[in-house]
Amino acid sequence: MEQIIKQLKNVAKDTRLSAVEKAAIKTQLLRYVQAHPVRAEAFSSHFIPSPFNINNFRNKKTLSAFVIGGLLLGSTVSFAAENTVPGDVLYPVKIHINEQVLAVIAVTPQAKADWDVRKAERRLEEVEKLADEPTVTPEVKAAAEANFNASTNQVQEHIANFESDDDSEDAIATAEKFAEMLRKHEGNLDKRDMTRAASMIRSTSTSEASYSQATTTKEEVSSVSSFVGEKEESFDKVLKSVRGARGNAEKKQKELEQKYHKEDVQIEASVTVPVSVQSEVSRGNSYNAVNDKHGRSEEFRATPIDAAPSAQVDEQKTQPEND
Amino acid sequence: MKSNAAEQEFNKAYEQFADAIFRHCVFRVSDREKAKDLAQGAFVRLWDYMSQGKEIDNMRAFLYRIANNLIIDEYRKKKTDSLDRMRDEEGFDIGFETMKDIETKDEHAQALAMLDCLPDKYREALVMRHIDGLSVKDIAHLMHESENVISVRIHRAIEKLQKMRNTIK
Repeated sequence: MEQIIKQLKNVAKDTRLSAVEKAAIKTQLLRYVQAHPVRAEAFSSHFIPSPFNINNFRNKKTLSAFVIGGLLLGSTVSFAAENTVPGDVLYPVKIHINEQVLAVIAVTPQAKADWDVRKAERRLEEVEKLADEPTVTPEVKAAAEANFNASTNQVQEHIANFESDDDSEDAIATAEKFAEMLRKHEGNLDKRDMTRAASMIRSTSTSEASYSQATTTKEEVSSVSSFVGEKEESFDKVLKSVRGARGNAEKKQKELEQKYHKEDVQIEASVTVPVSVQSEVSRGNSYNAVNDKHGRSEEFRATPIDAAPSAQVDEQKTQPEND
Repeated sequence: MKSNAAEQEFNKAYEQFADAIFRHCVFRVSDREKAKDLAQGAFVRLWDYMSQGKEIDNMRAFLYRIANNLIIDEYRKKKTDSLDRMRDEEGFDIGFETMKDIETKDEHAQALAMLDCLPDKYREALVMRHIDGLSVKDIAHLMHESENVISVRIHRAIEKLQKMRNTIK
């Protein structure tokens, strides 16, 4: 076996182009090279390779590493920014990137309104978090409250827009969602308020006892009470503003419901229906006005199909009298 | 200036690899004149590629790949009807006349004649490994096959040559 390989290698060693042959081929190749010169435009882009040229294999690797790294970093930062409050380093990321992206996803006016309700909730959550933080400056708290008020105004603007466009369903739905959200948070705040009050009573009694035992100085007691007072003040302020917003939202919701209910009734009245059915409608309205939210079920009650069974009921009622 | 750089690179590649590519072609087609044409054609194609401003990472591997493609084209031109049979192992059979030819030739011609009797896929693996001195890994990369497949081909090619040699003796 080795002999064969040796033989092949010996033969290969002697196999080469003679100097004349090599020169002849080279001459022909040089002629070809001169006849087919380098394309200027090709070299202009390739001999000074652009760092952004994706065709370069090394660039592909680097680029993909950058893209993957960027995505990882971006998603981590974005995720970390979600739980931030005003004053945090990543808070601008939450406001200007995360929320902008979410806002872009909401396309329809209803989706936009829903997103603004959610945004108002997020601002409210921030305000709630800050109210519990003892180290936060009043300026930051004020900024958070201003943000909450601004987002509340945005939701109200949406409702006003729906109203001006005669989009009763969306206007009422948005007002309802907004009021519901505020009600939920108010409930949470109330619970916390009660817990806080109970702990305050306990701590006050403890501090008073310790004061009487002369283990704490007057300054310590006053500093504790001032800190507690500040915290209580800010918490009360939040609770008050939420209550105010909730009150406004509910008021608006009621207004809208009444307004559109009246409009529906007017439309109903303008529709001509048989006299016998009209009497049924008038009877049905008294029920609907109490039970139905938007007073729309009159339309169905006013149909002759519904009128027939009710006429039967009337007959049944009159039967005992005849007997 | 950049054009000159490309020409210089091309000249350097010619001086460095002309003999190796020619040798490869000789052992693949068993015809010196045809091998000269094929080697020249390989360098022409190299220049066509370089003149477009495209970069070549491994000049040697690139030239072997061009030469190999040209050789396959050459086979197709001349033996279109028997190429499939030639690539098929079952087609390996040395006739009495061929054997007589091999016996009468000198060492160089005898080696070429023996290689001529090998199926092409064995021949190309054997030539690349023991004539051109390429590694099994490089050959596998050039042929788009696994290293294991290439090793088996080389081994079988040597076995067949050995068998032929024994028959001649």
